[in-house]
Amino acid sequence: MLYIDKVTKYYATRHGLRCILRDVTFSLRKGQKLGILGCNGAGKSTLIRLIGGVELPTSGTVRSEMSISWPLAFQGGFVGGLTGIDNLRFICRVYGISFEKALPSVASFSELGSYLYEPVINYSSGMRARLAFAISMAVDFDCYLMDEISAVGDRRFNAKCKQELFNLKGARSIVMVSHFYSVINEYCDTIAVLDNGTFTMFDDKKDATKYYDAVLARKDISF
Amino acid sequence: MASEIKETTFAESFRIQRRVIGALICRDFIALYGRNGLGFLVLFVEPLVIIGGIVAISTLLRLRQQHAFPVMAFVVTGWGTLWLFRYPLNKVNGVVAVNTSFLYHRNVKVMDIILARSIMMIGATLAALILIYLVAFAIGPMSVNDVSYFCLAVVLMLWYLFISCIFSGLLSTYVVLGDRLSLLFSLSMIFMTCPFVMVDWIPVIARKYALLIPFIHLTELLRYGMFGDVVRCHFDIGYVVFFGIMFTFFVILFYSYISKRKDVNALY
Repeated sequence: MLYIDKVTKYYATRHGLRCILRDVTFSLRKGQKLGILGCNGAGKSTLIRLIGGVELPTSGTVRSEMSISWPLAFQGGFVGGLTGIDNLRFICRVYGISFEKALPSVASFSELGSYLYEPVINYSSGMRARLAFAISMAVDFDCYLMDEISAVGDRRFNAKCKQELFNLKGARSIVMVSHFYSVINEYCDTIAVLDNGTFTMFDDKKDATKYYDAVLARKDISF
Repeated sequence: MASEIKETTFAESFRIQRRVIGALICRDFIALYGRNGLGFLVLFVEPLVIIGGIVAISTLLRLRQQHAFPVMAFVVTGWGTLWLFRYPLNKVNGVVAVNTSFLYHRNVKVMDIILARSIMMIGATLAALILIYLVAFAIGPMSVNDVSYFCLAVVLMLWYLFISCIFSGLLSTYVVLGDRLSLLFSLSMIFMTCPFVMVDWIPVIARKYALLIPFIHLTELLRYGMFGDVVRCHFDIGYVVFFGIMFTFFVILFYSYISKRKDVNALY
């Protein structure tokens, strides 16, 4: 289980403290797929960082009995000068998994071929995303975090990612944040909406959609 | 099956952190200096040029003055000590800010990033210094008078340096304007290591205050190991050890307090 209990997060800004998350409370059981909808600046990425353990909440607790991934397809840890292989080797060392065992699956999943031995700086954005996703899949976690991952690579590769994540690793929990409810609605069994730091969870997906539409309407955002 | 979460023993945690620090050093090394050609030599050559260049120029200029004072030994022990502290401190400053994304990996802690960079830079500077000392010994104008004092000074310096690097890394990570404070701390080494004068040359009244700074004792201790009784050196080993223990405890307390601070977004 993952427990988020009355989590509040403030950031210091030039205009004083700004509340990003206010008393966020929920729990996630093994295998549950939670989608969190929110507009830009609603606090989605902050929540992911708190769950990921990169930051501490100002108050409240984040407690996990599951192993939690870094955000899927996260490319922030890549260094241009390092090759794809170097990045994989680093992850393998950090997580104590066999590089020799991980390499074939990453090579085949990412479909990068000899580019794996090239510096990441030479990759296109699609290639980077494929490498990031493939490396993410090389480590087995109980819970995967997904921050605005709507498209990795082309349509075929995107379908392959979804197959891997939602079918082959279907028993894993997922926390997915996005501002597109079509993505959330398709893959998540529970939906919550984050609006100005306030977290509201819904039992019925339709209710969540209605609520999110109302939030968007209030913000005068049209799609 | 996904990995099971279980309580780890101290030995397991130690093994994990050792592995993580090793991975960070490898990654840092390749990221900074490249893996092809002789790029990695920059790590070692940069401090070598900074220290060795000044030592060579100072020695060549002053050798013409024909006095009994061992100029090369004085410059190596002074300038070398200054850069032994300054180079790693400069490189540790702000290291976490540019590597924040690593913190998504649960095994990687802020302290691991600081330790990895500290170990790499201290090792590089030490290697450069060892080469300079070896060259100086080989060409003749320098020799160690008392090996035990010399080695003791080196060990104490490495202890201080290691703690200073951790302190500097933490300061630049968690404290607002910490990177500037960390830079000031590094710059203060110009005075704190007393590289340009012997303490005996300072007026007596100022000497009393200068010797309150433990880093000066380290330089003087190193010089005593090098010169012996040729010049008068002022140091107190007990004071250095006492301050070192206090400094270590302070840094541990600082880390345990500041790493749990939740009030502001100090990391960003």
